[in-house]
Parts: sequence; structure tokens; C-alpha cells
Amino acid sequence: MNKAIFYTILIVLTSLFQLVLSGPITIVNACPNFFLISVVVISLYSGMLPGAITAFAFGLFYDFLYGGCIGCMALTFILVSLVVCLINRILNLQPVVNSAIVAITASFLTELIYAIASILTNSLSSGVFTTLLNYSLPSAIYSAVILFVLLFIIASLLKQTPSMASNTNEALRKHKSKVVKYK
Amino acid sequence: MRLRNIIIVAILLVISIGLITFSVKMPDNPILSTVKSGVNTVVSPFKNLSSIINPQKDKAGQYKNYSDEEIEKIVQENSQLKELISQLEEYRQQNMRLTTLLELSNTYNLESVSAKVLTTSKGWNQVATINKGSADGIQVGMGVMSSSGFYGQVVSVSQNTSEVKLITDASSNVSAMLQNTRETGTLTGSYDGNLVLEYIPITSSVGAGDAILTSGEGGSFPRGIFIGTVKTIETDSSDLYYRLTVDTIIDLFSCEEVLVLTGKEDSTASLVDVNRINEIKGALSSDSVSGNSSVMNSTTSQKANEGFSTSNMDANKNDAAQP
Repeated sequence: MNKAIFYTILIVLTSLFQLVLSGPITIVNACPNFFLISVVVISLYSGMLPGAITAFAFGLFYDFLYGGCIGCMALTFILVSLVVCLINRILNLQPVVNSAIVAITASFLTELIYAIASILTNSLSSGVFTTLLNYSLPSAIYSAVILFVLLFIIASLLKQTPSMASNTNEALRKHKSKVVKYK
Repeated sequence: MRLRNIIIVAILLVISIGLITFSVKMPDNPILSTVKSGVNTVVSPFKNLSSIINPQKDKAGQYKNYSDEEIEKIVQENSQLKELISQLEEYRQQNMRLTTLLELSNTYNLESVSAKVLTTSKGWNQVATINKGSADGIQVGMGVMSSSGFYGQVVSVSQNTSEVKLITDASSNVSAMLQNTRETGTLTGSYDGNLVLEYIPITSSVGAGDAILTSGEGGSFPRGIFIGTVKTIETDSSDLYYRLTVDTIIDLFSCEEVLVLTGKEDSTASLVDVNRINEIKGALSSDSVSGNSSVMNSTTSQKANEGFSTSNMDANKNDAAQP
């Protein structure tokens, strides 16, 4: 599968899930963040710049969609995208462990940074810890679980489709075969 | 190449921080409002889809599991409430007569548009989407009522949908007053879901269960809309003011229908009332000359009742329906 097609499908699906499903599948106060999936996947498999651009675009969309402080989620997603790229460079473990670490870090970091940004922009003096405990923590756990499952599935899919996992290698192999034919 | 990537990411970060500053400094900026409105117009069909997938809970179903004892208790409460309503009806009529006679035309024409709640967001931004927009005369800043009290304020409007910031949202600020003492304070939401009424002077007498209403200050909402009751009483860090936790009767997230208050103070209604008062004054003076006090009283109450428009009656009914 072509990378561009895969990303387009991913972006469309996560946007649809966020718009349509995030409300109905809310458990008590915990609400998953589907946009984070696209941001993390693109950051992991395409690097810093595409990840940051996706993060910025999805973050702004989120801010305009939910009426919060404009730019808060954009900043949060960009920082999370950078951290995910960093983790991806440092870690070289089993896909399950890698997916778990990335999912947990990304989800908790998103909630924490957005909480700090929201609290700073609203100039709140009280209820911070209660908020983190009642809303941020359950939401982060919920998002982390969904993200972990999807990352693991995507990692498995990429193994089965070498054209996506190693586009460069595939291109090199084709080029070499053409060179051999000419010879 | 690597340096170029870093520069682009840095630019995106700076733009984000710039947007945050811009949004905080100028929250009512028309450009941001237009973009928000545009985004909401585009995504409104998906939000409608969300409301189809997740219909609001059937409230009738909640009573299915009540035991006989609980039903008996509810029936008793119902009869007590009926008695209370009849008493309140008396007070209401008395209030109407006195208000008319004292020329207190502090009454509002509650012109409203009913709307269906499509979705409610429980996240950091507690926002509800309703199925009425600018095409129905809804504008940013209008107050929204549920069947049991104040619900929130319209923050963004597209052609067919609107976003309502709930009163429990952390950035929500509403001027409110205690019904008993008429002391006004600021009602704010919080991330932990509580409503807090601040800046009530410590000298005022406040008790748990006291009703809290909108004060009407600021002009966005009419005065006297029920918000909730006092749950807990604390003093703030300065020890000069009370910090009251407010208990709302209903769960805002389970609301299905709301009323958007499209009309504010109606000067025409006030004029009608003043004319009516003059008529009543005339009637009073002529009746006092004739000395027929019983006729005078009946005429006064009848005319006073006639002097109120239907919307004002509704407003008084709302006040009367408070616990």
C-alpha cells in the first residue's frame, strides 16, 4: 500500500472517529483523543517535519472544533510529536514494548501539556489536582489503550507490507534490477 | 535539510504560541469567530450523526426500577409540591399586583427559541452543540436555559448549529445572586465539574439550600433565572468573601432540549405596563371616591393580571417553579 494512501485513510478515519464517536464512547469523564493517533503514527513513520505539520493542523482543528484557547492543542501536539520522534530514535525494542511506551508517553504528555496550557490561559487558581485526577488521568489511560492497540496493529501491518515499511529499500531494489537489465 | 526541518518546526511552535497569546488577549476577535463558525458549519453533519448514534438517555426509563416504598415517597413529595405550588401561586399573584402598583416594571420579555442538544463535550471545554444557528436568529452571547434553570451561553454560531459553553465550563463567568439576600457574586465553573459562587460578602447570611439566580448584570441574560442551590459554604483566602459551591438540579450533560433566550429587555412591554399602571391608578382613585373597597381590590388584581404579557407570566412561572 502506498504511504500517501495509507496516511489519507488514517487521517480521514481518525477525524471521523473524533467527530462522531468520541462523544458516544465517553466513559464517565474519560474521552479518547483520536487525532493523537494520526499525529503519533505520522511522527513515528515519517519523521519530525511531517509529524509536526500534521500535529499543528490537527491541533488547530481541535481548537476550533471544541472552542478552547486557539493554539493550545496545536502546541501540545507539536511537542508530543517531537517527543515521539525522540523516543523512536532512542528505543529499539520489540514492537509491543515500543508501541506501549510511545502510546503511554504520548497520551499522558498530551493531557499534561494541554492541562497546563488550559490552566495558564484560564488563570485558574483552584481545582487543578482534582481536574488532573478526575479528567486528565482517565482520559490519558483511555487514549493510551486505544493508541497502543492501533500502533501494534499498524506495526504488524507494516511488517506484512514491505513496500510501506521500507519504501526506500524497495526503490533501490527496483533500480538495481533495471541496471542489471540494461547491462 | 535537517536544519531546514528544525526551522520549520520552530516556526510552527512560534505560530502556536502566537495564536495562544492572540486568543487570550482578544477572545472575541471576529476572524477567530468566523473560522470557528466555518469549521462548525463543515462538521455539523458529523455531529448530527453523532447524536443519532448516541441518543440522549430516556429519562422515563430511569423510573422503571423504583421500589414501591420509593414510589410512595415520590407521591408524598408530589402532594407536598402541589401544596407548595398553590402557595407560590398566591405569592405570585400578590407579587404581580404589588409590582404593578409600585411601577416596578423590572420585567423581561423572555423571547426564546427552542433547540435540540446534538452533542455535549465533557472534555476540557464543556461545550454543547445545538441544532439552531444564525438562520434562527441566534447570536453569540445569548443565554441558554434548560427546563430546570440556566444552562450556558452561546459562544459560536454557524448557519444551522451553535456552540453553547456550559456554566460548568472552567472559563465560564456569570453574574449571579442569592435569592434571599440579593447579594451578587461571580459564578464560575471549574475543571472538577463544580459550580462556585464567589465574592459574596462574609457579612451576608447564607445557608445551605439557598437558591441562586442570575442577577441580570452585564445585560446578557435576564434577571431571576434559576441556577441552583447552595451546597457548601467556605470562606476564601482573604476571609472577606464566601466561596459557595453550587448544586444544580439537573445533569447538564443529559439535557435534550434547551431554550435560547433571543430577546433581552423589552422596552415596549415596559411601556404597556406603565400605561396599565396609570389605568389602575385612575381606577383606584375613582373607586376610593366611591368608597367601594371590595370592588377596587378585585378590579386592581384583575387589571394587574391583564397588564402582564404571556412571556412575563412565563417568567414568573419559572420563578415560581423554583424549589
